[in-house]
Amino acid sequence: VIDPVTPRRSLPSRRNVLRAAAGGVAALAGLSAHPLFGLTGAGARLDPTSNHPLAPRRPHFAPRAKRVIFLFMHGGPSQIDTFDYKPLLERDNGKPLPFAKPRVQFAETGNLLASPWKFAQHGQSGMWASELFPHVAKQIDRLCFLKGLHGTNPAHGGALLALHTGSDTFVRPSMGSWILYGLGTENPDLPGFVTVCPSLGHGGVNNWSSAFLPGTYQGTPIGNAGVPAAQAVIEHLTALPERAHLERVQLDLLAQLERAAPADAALASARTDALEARLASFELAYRMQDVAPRVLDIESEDDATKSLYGLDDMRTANFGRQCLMARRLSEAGVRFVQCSHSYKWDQHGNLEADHAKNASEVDLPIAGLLTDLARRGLLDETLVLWGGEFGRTPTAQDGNGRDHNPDGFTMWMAGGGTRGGSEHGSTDDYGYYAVDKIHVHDLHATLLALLGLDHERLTYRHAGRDFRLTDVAGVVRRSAFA
Amino acid sequence: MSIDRRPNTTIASQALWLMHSPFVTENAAELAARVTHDAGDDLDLAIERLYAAVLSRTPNSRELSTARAFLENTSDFAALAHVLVASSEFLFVP
Repeated sequence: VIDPVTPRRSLPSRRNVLRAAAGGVAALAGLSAHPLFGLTGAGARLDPTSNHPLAPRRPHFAPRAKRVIFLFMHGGPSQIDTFDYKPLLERDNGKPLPFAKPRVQFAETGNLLASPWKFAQHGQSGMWASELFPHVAKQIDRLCFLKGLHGTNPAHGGALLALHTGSDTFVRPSMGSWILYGLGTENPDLPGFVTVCPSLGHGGVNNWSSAFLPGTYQGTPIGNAGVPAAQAVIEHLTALPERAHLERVQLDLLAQLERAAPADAALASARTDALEARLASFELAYRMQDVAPRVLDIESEDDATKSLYGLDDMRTANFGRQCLMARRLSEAGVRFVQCSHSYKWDQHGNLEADHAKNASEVDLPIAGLLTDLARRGLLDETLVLWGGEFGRTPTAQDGNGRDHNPDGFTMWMAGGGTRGGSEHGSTDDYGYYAVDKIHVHDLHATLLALLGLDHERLTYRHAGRDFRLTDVAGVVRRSAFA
Repeated sequence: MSIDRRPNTTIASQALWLMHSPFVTENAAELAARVTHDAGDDLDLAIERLYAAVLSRTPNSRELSTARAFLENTSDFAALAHVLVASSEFLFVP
């Protein structure tokens, strides 16, 4: 049984109601602070005229980015075959790694394996990219590389959870949920956190769950990894057209019945906000069936835009469609949109064929997304994040494969106030270990900072203490800021 | 699904499920067919039976007149049953 009456700071809990009824009024003290923003003293404050949990909220300091599009490459793309160029790996192909492998490995690996792809410098910045990403490489001056990323978990499930929620040990809110909680949404007719074709494995729903944050901040999935993007929908979205009017009358009746005060006055006051929030979710659902189909109507784009995203090519159409959906959702004000290129990048063997195939599916759509955001003037305020849950080892597995490598990998950001044409952090000469290190917690702290949120002040009280996306860690990489 | 505090109990996708899923609409229709069949031509009795079936109580006079007004407007008893099934009183402890 779900208890609808639990907020601690502005609404009396059931226990508080009982205490108050028994004369213990102290239980009701201190309930005026807003329940949805665990900040004490200075900091963001909700517009007092609105108590809607998704109302836009002022960040802690001036934001560089307003929203995020996360292009998640599930499986673990290889840093040393894409953007982290290592000449010594090429030179020492077939030789043993000249230093120790990690004490904890996912599986045994052999000697060094040179990248099968040629690297070249691109753009004015002269940053390196391999042949795997020819279209993205043309826009390299827009990219801000994080090259010394590292995590702790060498298995997909734990690494996905750590990347999405900051924790591989406990169920924690997704970064999208934290960001929505911190900033609210710009469009009251759409969910504020949408994940397009997410994977159901490796943590599954926990990767877009709000955990202990209120359910309002949970990610709304459109389709899942097992569904082609062309068939990805928000489930149960629309009523039959002939029932639309009836549905309005039904929702009015529901509101009328829900708002009728129960006989018990104490209970009535405890219920009010919870019931209003519930009614608000029905109203959002009602508006969404009008708004969401239009926002997700890819066919309304012109042919030039469709081909910019590769919708006219079998190889790129699926991820291209996801990217185009992401642009449309983001443009409509959805705070955090994730697109998953699902569980394809896990090349323990067959690296050459499969990494090439994977890259060919996403390279053009990603470049198209960056171009499209830029020409619409949206790139400045939209932070695009690219990467997987970990990288891959420079040492070989199964002849032509690489193992998981959480000890050093690459992600990149673009737009959203990041410094294009720059790179931050580094790995060793073979790309195995992060040297100038950026932990996943540091990535989260940096993302929040770009959005104007202080990762140490974005807290939520749960189970007796304040929680953060970055737990007790996180260092902001300010050098990545424009 | 979420835990601990729930000041914002449901999210839109849960509301969409309650509004549009065949599971909910079909059950509401079957429920409506059952109580209207049992009550014959007596509309008030049908509404009372609906409340008894869904909420295990009788409607108060205001609820009765609200329901009657809804049925005069829509002539759709299944739609009334659907609203009660989507109500917080049915789904949650009040």
